[in-house]
Amino acid sequence: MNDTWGIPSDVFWKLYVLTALGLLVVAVACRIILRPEPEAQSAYLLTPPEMGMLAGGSSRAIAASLAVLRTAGAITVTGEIHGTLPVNDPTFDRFTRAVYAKLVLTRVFGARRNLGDLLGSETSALRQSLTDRGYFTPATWSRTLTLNTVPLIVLGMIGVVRLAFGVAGGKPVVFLLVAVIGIAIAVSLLRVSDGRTRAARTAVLDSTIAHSYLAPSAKPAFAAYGPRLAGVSAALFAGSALLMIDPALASAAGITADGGGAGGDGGGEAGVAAADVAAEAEVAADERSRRTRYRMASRNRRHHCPIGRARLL
Amino acid sequence: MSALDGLGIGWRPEIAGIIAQLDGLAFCEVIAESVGTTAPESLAALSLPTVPHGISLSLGSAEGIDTDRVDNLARVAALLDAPLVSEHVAFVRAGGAEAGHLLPVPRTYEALDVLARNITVTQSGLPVPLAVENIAALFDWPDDELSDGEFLAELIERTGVTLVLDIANVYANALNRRRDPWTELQRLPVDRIAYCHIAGGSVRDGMYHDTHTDPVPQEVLELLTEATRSGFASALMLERDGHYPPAAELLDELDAIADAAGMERVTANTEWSRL
Repeated sequence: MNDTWGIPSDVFWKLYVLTALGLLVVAVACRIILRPEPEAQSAYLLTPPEMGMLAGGSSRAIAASLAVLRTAGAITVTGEIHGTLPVNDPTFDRFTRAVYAKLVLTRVFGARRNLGDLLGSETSALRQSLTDRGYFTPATWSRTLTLNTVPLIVLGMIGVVRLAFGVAGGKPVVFLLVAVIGIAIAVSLLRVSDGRTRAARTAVLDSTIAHSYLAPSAKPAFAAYGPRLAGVSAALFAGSALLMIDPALASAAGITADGGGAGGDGGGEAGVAAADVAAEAEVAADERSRRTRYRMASRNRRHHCPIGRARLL
Repeated sequence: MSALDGLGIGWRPEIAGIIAQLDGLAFCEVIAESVGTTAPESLAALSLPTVPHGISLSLGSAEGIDTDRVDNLARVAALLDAPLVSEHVAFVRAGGAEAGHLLPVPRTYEALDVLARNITVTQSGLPVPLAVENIAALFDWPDDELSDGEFLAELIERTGVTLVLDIANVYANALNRRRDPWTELQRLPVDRIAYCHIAGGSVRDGMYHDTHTDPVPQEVLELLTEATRSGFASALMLERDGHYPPAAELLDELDAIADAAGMERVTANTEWSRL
């Protein structure tokens, strides 16, 4: 006999799978129906750090602000901070001003600090602001997701108990084991959420397409585009954009090509701009430039020998 | 005479986002050697006539033309559905050495033979007409036999090419030779112009350098104004190849060129114009 609890194994696992599928359909439906999708504003109205927050979290938001500040000439790689930001200049949004204020307050350019940690409350406020405008799901959403999977979890636990009895009784449990593993995977997937709403993903996608000319592969002239678009580039195209804007700044700020560092998202080190690092980078750049000019001049001297016959104007 | 008309600009990826916002832009020019197997997306999106502008064909090379380079120019022309292609009256290599610069050919009958032969080979390999550009020279060869105007007119007569008249280069050469730019301009074969270039430059060590990284000098704009006043009309484009200024300055420069040429401005609706 293959009975456990008086129910034959093949009957039990079939009923079990049917129940699991039913609960799964209900859970998916609830997730879709209950998902908060408030109407979001036009993506064009998002500031660079806001776009960065949507595209890559707080580290990207900080990178976007640094790009704005650097392109505007408000900060330098040598650690100097130029005066105060103009009060009514719309170039500098609230978050970027907060980043600047933190730089001024702590002089982090001269003493490595974790900018991401320093800006913890500001990034929280930025995220809350985006949540209020429909780009992030509210905190209650993660609780909803958890509650949504409770029936499946209960079913999974029943399955585990039945498995234990089945194994102890030497009954066939393979199908049930597969079903329980399937439930565990389904529960994990149903609880996954990056916190962004569909509006946020659409905003990032639309903005990435509209600003494809700001991708580092296009070698954008940030001096021409101005601070806001430099910030948008850093927001959308990660640290590689900031590396283009100012390699020394990106390096000193611990920002990598994929946008990591500078922020509290991953808990990584987020030191900002040690003056010595920046100065070394500038010295190295000068040296490279000098060597390049020398090579060009040498080559020209070799290749332009006919000019020796020419009459200079 | 020309398939082009109106105000254009040299398309560069670095400023593609600004160019994309220009209303009424008539055409673009792109460095032919920078175009890969597909047209840059943001250039193709403009849907404008686009001229591939070669910089490495070395039409003045006595050793002849590298046909692979002609093939590449033809490929780019086909890829962009170009109305014509352009190159420089210059050489960039000799004896296997690459100069890395556009060097002036001696204005001699011998050099004309070389140029005409190379241009004929190039024309036969291209699916569209070829136009050639006068360059800015920092020196003259001692054996020059012809003036700029005579040299270009003879070249056009022999090959049937049209001229990309670089107005800033006329100014540069006149200034460096201590001549009057307007008089020099009038001596050129202006009836055979495909389109015109205008670019910036700067004076270093007493010589005017055609840098393409500086603003267009007021004197060059005045030369254009003078030409326009005398009835000169041609498609015209701004060339800027680096050290890009803030967008507003670039747009001001385009406006100044449009005004000097009596053309409609193309900058009214960019996000920088509205600031």
